[in-house]
Amino acid sequence: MQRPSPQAVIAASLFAFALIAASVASFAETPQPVAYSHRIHVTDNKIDCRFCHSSANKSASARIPPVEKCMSCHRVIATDRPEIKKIAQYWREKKPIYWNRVTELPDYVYFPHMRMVNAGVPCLTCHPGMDRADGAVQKREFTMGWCMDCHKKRGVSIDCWTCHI
Amino acid sequence: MKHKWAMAIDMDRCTGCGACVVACVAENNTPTAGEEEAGKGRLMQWLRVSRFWKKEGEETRAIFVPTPCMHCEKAPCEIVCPVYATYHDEDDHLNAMVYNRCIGTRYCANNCPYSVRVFNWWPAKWEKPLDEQLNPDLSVRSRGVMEKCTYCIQRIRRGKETAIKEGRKIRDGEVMPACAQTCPPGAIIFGDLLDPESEISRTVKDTRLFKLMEHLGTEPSTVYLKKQKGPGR
Ligand code: SF4
Repeated sequence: MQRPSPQAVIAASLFAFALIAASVASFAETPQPVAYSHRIHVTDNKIDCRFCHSSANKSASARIPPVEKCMSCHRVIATDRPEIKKIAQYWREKKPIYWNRVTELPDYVYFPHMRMVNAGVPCLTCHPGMDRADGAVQKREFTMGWCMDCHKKRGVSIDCWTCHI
Repeated sequence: MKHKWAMAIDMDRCTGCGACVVACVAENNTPTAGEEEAGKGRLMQWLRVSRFWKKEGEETRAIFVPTPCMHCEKAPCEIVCPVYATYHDEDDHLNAMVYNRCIGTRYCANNCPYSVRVFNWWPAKWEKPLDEQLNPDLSVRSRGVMEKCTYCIQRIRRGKETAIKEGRKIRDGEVMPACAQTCPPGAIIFGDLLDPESEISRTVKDTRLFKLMEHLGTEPSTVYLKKQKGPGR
């Protein structure tokens, strides 16, 4: 068998590298209208996730806090920082902040946050590293096998209809 | 917590108005097939109101039979599915349909004696701003899959979740499919047969009760109450 030419080897490895780079890049932080840092809030100031994502234990979606919630603290805290000024601007103009979505499940998956949170699954199980991220980043791929593993370990339903309605 | 959801349709009360059909379409993100497709028998409705004419002396009367999925205990549609996309849900005693498992053989539709399964022939489009009316609790099915009435499983799920969170049992009447909720004369009764106190448990003891095509032995969960004879009926 003929050995592959060095060019082909280089091209193949470049291609592989590009693939890996692309898959790593998909875990990169999504740019947001306001540079929000989870690290400062969660790790440095020990604010519970559910203080801002206040519906996580009540409804299917964890919810993103309204500008009002940001302002409830930032009317007095760090008011001179440029990013906080941006939020204040939204607040004055009575406009919502259009955050870019980072974590999204396909339409055919029925995922109620409340069931997981009330069952005592820590937020970081599905959102690892979020507490240390400067921004919002999704490091875990939500594959069905991964969900099933967890369900099996906890001995909860793995009936198809539990998640696919 | 186990349930056995069942539905009773009182034909004495049904006026054939079709509100249940509209409610079902709105609740379950069912696409509209249109006249031409419907003419080819591709009507996309999980619930239809079948109409029969009955001659009584001088007069001819219409009899309306709303027909959703019967959620048969011994479902003919389940045994023929090659990929286990439709199966019996042990927790709720429902005939489950997992859309993203379905490969579209349509064998289930052929085997269903009640013809209540519908197939997605085309990718449905909800043009702006119609996409705003889609129900977020339910998936929007793609082309090539089978679908059917699920007794509004998303509402059952919601009811169960609320009950679990509040640490209690589901109350009678708490979970209600869109058709039952919207029926103006209240002809559709829905509930849990395992709850002996529920309205449906009382209804199934009615002497007017009958099942569609009972001789087939499908043991449907959707039952009917016969139209009574008498003045003004
Ligand atoms: S009515 Fe038809 S679709 Fe529904 S469970 Fe029975 S056989 Fe299946």
